[in-house]
Parts: sequence; structure tokens; C-alpha cells
Amino acid sequence: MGKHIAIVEDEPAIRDNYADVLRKQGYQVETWEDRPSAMQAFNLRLPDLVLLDIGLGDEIDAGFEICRELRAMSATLPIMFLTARDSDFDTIAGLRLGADDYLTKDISLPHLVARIAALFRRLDALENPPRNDSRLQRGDLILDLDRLMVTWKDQTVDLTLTEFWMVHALARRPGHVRNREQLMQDASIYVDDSTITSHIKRIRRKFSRIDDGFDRIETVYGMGYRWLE
Amino acid sequence: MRIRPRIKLRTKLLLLSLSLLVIPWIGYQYVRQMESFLRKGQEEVLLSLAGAIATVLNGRPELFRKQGDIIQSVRSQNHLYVRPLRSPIVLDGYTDDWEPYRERARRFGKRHILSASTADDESSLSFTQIVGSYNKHLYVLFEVRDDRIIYRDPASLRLDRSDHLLIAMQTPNGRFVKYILTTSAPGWVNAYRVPASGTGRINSIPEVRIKGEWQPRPDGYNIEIRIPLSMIGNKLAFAIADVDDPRTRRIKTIIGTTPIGKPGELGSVMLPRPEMDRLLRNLRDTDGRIWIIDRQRRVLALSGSLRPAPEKETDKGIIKGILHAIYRTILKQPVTRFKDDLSAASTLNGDEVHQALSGKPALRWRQSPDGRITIMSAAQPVWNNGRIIGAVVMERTSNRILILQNRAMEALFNLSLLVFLIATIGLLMFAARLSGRITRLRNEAEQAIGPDGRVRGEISQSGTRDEIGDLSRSFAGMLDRLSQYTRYLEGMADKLSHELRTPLTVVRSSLDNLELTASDEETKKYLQRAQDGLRRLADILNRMSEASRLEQSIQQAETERFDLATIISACVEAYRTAYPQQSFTYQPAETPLPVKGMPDLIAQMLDKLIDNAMDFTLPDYPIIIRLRREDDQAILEVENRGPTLPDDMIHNLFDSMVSVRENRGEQPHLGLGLHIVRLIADFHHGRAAAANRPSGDGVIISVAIPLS
Repeated sequence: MGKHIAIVEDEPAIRDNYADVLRKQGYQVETWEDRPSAMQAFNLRLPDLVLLDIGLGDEIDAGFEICRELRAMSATLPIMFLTARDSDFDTIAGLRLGADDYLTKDISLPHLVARIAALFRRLDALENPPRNDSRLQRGDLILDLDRLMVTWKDQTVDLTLTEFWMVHALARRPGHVRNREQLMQDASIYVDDSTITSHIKRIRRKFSRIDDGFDRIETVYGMGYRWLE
Repeated sequence: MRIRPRIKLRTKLLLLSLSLLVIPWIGYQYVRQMESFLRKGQEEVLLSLAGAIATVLNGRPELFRKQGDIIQSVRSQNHLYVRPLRSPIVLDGYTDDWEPYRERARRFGKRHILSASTADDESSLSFTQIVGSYNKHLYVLFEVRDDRIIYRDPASLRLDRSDHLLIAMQTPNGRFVKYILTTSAPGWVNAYRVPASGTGRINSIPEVRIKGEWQPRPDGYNIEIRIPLSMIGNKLAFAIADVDDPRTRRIKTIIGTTPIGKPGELGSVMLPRPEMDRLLRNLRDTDGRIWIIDRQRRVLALSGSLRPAPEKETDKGIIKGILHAIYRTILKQPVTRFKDDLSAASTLNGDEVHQALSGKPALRWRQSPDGRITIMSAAQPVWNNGRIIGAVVMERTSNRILILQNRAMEALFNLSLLVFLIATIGLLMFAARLSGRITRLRNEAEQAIGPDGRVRGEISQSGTRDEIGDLSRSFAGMLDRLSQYTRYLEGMADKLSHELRTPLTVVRSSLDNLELTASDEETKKYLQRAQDGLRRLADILNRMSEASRLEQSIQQAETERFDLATIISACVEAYRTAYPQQSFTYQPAETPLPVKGMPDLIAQMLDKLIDNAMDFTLPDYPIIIRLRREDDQAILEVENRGPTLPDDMIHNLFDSMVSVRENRGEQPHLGLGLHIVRLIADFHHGRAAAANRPSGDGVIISVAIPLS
């Protein structure tokens, strides 16, 4: 039985293309083009994962609205924003509403599929006991590659998938500078420099929330970032 | 082109206000025209004043009758009216104390010869006489011109064998008496009474009440005498007898004020009379003269003077004092020095006097002998029982009209000066306000648009409902529309990229789908090319929206203090490893450069600067990065050898979508890199500027950031 994925997207061509590729991967896909019809369906039955565009038809913030309502119905339902809106402001707003990931439409379909798969894997792993061989440990940092979970000093750091891959890329080779292009590749996103900067900033803030003295991610000006042991 | 002098609004309005000076000019003309009216008014006033005085005297013949015993046949010319002296006279033979009364002097010469021993006219004798009364005495000064002074021989008993003075008078009780004053040496002289008939007899009854002083002068001698008024009746005459031959000592010539031989020939004298003085004191005219004359036109009384009383210097304050001084130079002032033809007169002869004595009031204008002043005199007859017994003559000078005129002028000038001042100050303030508002508007308009043509500020809309207010409002509106348009242009790249993103996603997702199903190599090859093109398109779109995303992130940026030098040094190290084929020369700052801002943005800015420099640099030349401190600023310069900037581009280089690249390379260039440099520089309150190398073979882009 395939996972059930809901796509809320107002542009038919994009909607159908996403639906096609996901169906080929064996997922069951349902598509809606606006908020009222989508919410009507979600009220009857929640899908396993929701792909949301922010602007739907005339409602410019419909995606945020749906996200808020879904999060109210279920705390664990994976929600991904997939939108053309790439400003910091929208990214922060989306993630603050409880979305698991915020992707821009620059992402290629194979990357999108991989993300979705990773998200489901994380869900699965949360239900099953972890296998130790898929763990990456760097001092106080433990990366669980199955569940895509990060712990710092035995506390879970609530990272999005993009952020997880970035931390992974940095921590895999401590002391080595990863430039922005490398980070983008590792996180399977394509964004500009300032978006990377704000991603890094968000990651640091999330670690700092657990540990005030967190200073392991260093900016190497002109080059990129590195993980300090 | 003709260069016109630049006249400010303020100056123009000030010049305009000069037209107000017409007001005092018109007033001046008007007051001048008033002169004839003033004259008329003065004439009537004078006539009615004289009439009033005449009315007082009407029916009081006793005032005139004192003279009743004067023999009518006496010629009126021989009348002597004695004017009072203002101060006592010292009998010393010197004339100093007579000087104030010099105008009363009367000359007696050839026409007054009473007897002469020779018929020829060789006589050198003449004399000047000044008469005055003071404190119940009559004082007389004789200045005698005589080529030879013969003193009395002390041994001689005769009094008339030397130069001497003869006094003939009628005593109050009607007796006719004669006195001789002579001396044997200069100094004190005594009078001797001599018999009334014949002068040559020896008689030595001294008269001690008459005193005198004799002093010789180079051309003659002076005699000063004093006679108690009580001795003098209604008639009085003086004569000077001249003796020139010391041997024969015979009288050569006698000159007299009037004939002295018989009582009937003596001239009449009018001494100051208390009852007349009292009367006139009450009728005194402040700046005129009042004469009272009898039917023979002989002066019975005189009061006042034609000379204006000296002006009292009252304390007027500085401004009034200055104004007064100015007016005194502009306006014609009352004449204080002029010749008075009647100063010594004892009879009046004017037409008006004759008419008044024939019963008609009359008025006459006449010039003073020196022509400096005009004198107006009005005469009114005095009646008694239907007979004319005398006349009142009042005189005034044109000074009075002048004073009235001047008073009107001064009031007018003061008023128009005040009006002028108020109007000028008002106009000046108005002009200052106007030009201030216009200047402010100009400054705002100049500052609203920067040298690069960007709208930088706003014009505060004036609430005033006038033309300048309208101008400022339309300026503000214009600027607003301009900045909207600029914003639209600046945001166009972002909007465009945003709009293109959806179709791009359609294409990308379709291609991705196709790629998953494609099997043959041919299709994959074309798919690959399509994907490459798509990536470049996405790249372009990303760059296009980079600036606006940067602006957004700047809005939420949290600033911190950091050392600019550390960041730049780290970046330069990174470039050296990132671009091994390019050499970099770094001239670091000597001191730390603390600035406030975002280090990430600074790094991003330097990235763009280096990108830009590497695009243009000639191979084998290093890119030079300089960092230094200038006053309160950190200056960052990135210099590369290569083509120079066209002059017209230097200001616009930092605008969105401006690029000077000629050959298009692999990477798309939208001219957004330096725009981002400026955005970041602006965020740090700094300035970005571009210049060509002085040697003309490269470009220097510099960013100045204020230190914190």
C-alpha cells in the first residue's frame, strides 16, 4: 500500500508533473487547486504527506493557512512547502508554522522525490528502533542518518531536512571548509548566497537554543563554513 | 551670452519700497503751496491783533496827551525815542558795553551842521550817537571823528575855547537849560551849566548830576555821559563843537542832533514811561514788534523785537535729536541775522502808517534792507471822540510763517518716515520669508535627487495656500511619481524573475518527467541540453532577484560590531586559494577598523567587488585590495588594470542592470553586482564610488564606511 501524498498547487501543469513523477514512484497522489476543496478533503481524511504552494489562486497566503490548520489537526503530519516564493520572510514564516521543509521550485524532480523519500524514512525510523551503523558522531553531535535526526549533548535539535543535510555536510568532514555551492549540492537545493547565510544562521540559533555557548559552525569569510571539532 | 546682474528678491522689493519716498515729496510740495494761505492767515491775525491793541488805547488820550505841550511845529524827524538798555553802562569811555546796541547808532555829519566858521566843506567833524536808558538814567555815547583834538586850556576860564559837547534840554517844569562838557585832559568830565543865550561866556556852575568820561581815539574821541531822567523834560538836543586851531581857539564847526539855539527848535524826546510800559507788557507779542505812535508818527512806545527768541535746546532723545539736525539742514531756517531798518527809528514813515493815521487800517510787506527777510507790518488807528490820536503798528517777520511751515514739514517727514520704515520692514520680512521658502524649496529639490538620478529624499509639502505652496506640492507630487517609477524600474527585475519562475517550473518539471521515461540516447542528449539551458535561465532569474532579496534580508538584519580588517583579510586569503590563477595584492590597514553592521554582508560585498575586478582585469596583473583609515572612515579600494569607465557611466555604475561589459562571456551579467555593493554600502551608512586610475589604465572601485 503506497503512501498517500496530497499536492495543493494552483498551476495545473506543475501540479500534474509533480503528481506524475510521484505516482511513478509508487505513491498515491491526490491534487487540489485551492484551499476550500483541499481543506474539505483533509477534514475527511488526512494524507501521509502534504506538498503546499503558498499562493493559491487569489489567496496569496492560502498555503500558510492550510499549514496552520493541518498542524492543528496533527502534530506529526509531514508538511512541505514547495513554492516560487524564496524570500527569507516567507521561509521563516513557513517553518515557524510547523512545516517540515521549505523548498523552492528551483528544485529538480529527482531531488524532490529524494526529499520526500527521506521524510518518509525519518517517519519510519521514528517508529522503529535505531540501527547504530547509520549514526555519525562528532563529539557532542550525533547525526541519525535513518531518522534524519540531530542531537546535541543528548538533546534533539529540531532541524528541517535542508538544515539537516547542511549540518551533515559540515560535520562529515570536520575542519574542512564547505563552500556555498557544496552546501547547496549536499542539501539538494539551489538558492543564492544570502539564503545559505540565513540557513546557517537559523541552524546556529537552533543549536544555541539548547546550548548557549554553541560555536562549532564557523564562517570562513570569502569561502564558506566549517565544523570545528 | 549677456550676464545679467543677479538681483535677489529681497533687493528688488527693497528698491520697490523706495517708491514710498514719493509720499514725503508730495507732502513737501503741498506744504510749500500752503505758504500763500499761511501769509493770508498771518496778515489777518496781525491786523486783528493791531486792531485789538488799538481798541485798548481808544479813548485814552491821556496816554498821548503827555506830549500835548510839545509844540506842534517841531519837525517829527527831530524826535528821539529812547529805548531802554538791558544792562548798566560803565562810564569809562570805551564802547564795548555799547556794542549790543550798535544798531541804534545814528550818524550826524555835514547835513547836521548848525554853524560853521568857514564856508568850505573841509570840515572833518562828524559823530555817531547811541542813546539808551537804564535805571532812571539816560546814557549817551558820542563817537566823534575829529582830526584834531583841542583840550581846554586849564588856565583859561572860557569853556567854549576847546572841543566840547553841548546839551540843550527843556526841564520837566518847562525851563530851557544848556550844559557844556569839556575837559583839559582825557578822563572824567564835568558838565557846566551855561546861560541859555550865547555859549561863549564864562560860567562855572558845575552840574554834578551830569557825569561823563572822555577818551581819545586815533581818529577822534569818545564821550560817554549819564543824565538822570528826572532832569529831562520833553525836549533834548546834543551838539558837538569842534575847535581846530590851538592858537585862536575859535569854534570852527558845530554839529547837532537838532538846532539848539532856541527852545522851540529843540527836538522832542520820548523817555520810557511806566504807564505805557505796563500797558505794552500785557500786550507783548512773542515774535513781533508793537509800536505806538502819535499823530506826528513819533514813537511813543515800543515793545518786542523782530529777532526770534533763541530756541530752547530741549532734551529730545537721540533719534529726535538726529532727525531735528537733519531737518535743520534740509529746511529753510528762520533768519536770525538781518538788518533792521527801524532799529533806531524814532518816527515811522511807512504807507500803512500814513493810511492808519488817515483812518484806514493798512498792511504792508517790505524787505529788510539786506533783503534777507520779509517784514509784515499792520497799522490800526487809535481814536478818541471821533478823532485820530495815534496809531498802533504791529510787525512780524516771515520767520513766523517759515516756522509754521517747518513745523508742518517736520510732522509730515516724521510721519512719512514712520510709514516708510513700517512698510520697508514689512516688505523686507515678507521678502525674507518668500525667498526663505523658495530657497528651502530649491535646496530640497536639489537634494531630493542625487547625482546618480535616484530619488533620495522627499519634499515636505507646504500647507500654505499660495503659489509657492502650490509649487512645493507639485514638486512633491512630481517627486513622488518619479520615485514610484524608479521603484517600479528597480523592482522590475524581481517581478520579472518572479513571473518567469512558474513557467520555468513547468518546463523543468516536464523535462524531469521526460528524463525519467526517456530511453534512447538521442532524446537524452537533447534533454541534457534543455536542462543546461534551463539551469542558465534559472541562474539569470536568481541573480535578478538577488538584489531585492538582499534588500529584504537587510531589513531584518541584526547588526553587530566587528573588525572590518579581520573580515577583509580572511576574504583575501580565501580568494587566493579559490582563484590560484589570479594574483592578489593586499595592502591591509595598520589599525583595527571597528564598524557596525553585518560581516556576512561585507564579505558578500567584497565578493561582488572581486567578481567585478576579475571580469575586467588584464591577465598577469594583480588585483589590488587596499584597506585604510581616513579620519572616521574605513576606505576599501579594489583596483584592477584594464579598460576604463566611460565618464557618463561613473555615476550610474552602481544602478541596477547597468553594465559596461562589451564581450558577453559564459556567465550572464546583469549589472547587478555593483548594485549589491551599493546596497550593502548604504546599509553600513557608507558610500560606494567608482573612478578610473589616474594613469588611465584601470578602474578603482572604493567603498567608504564610517567607523563606529
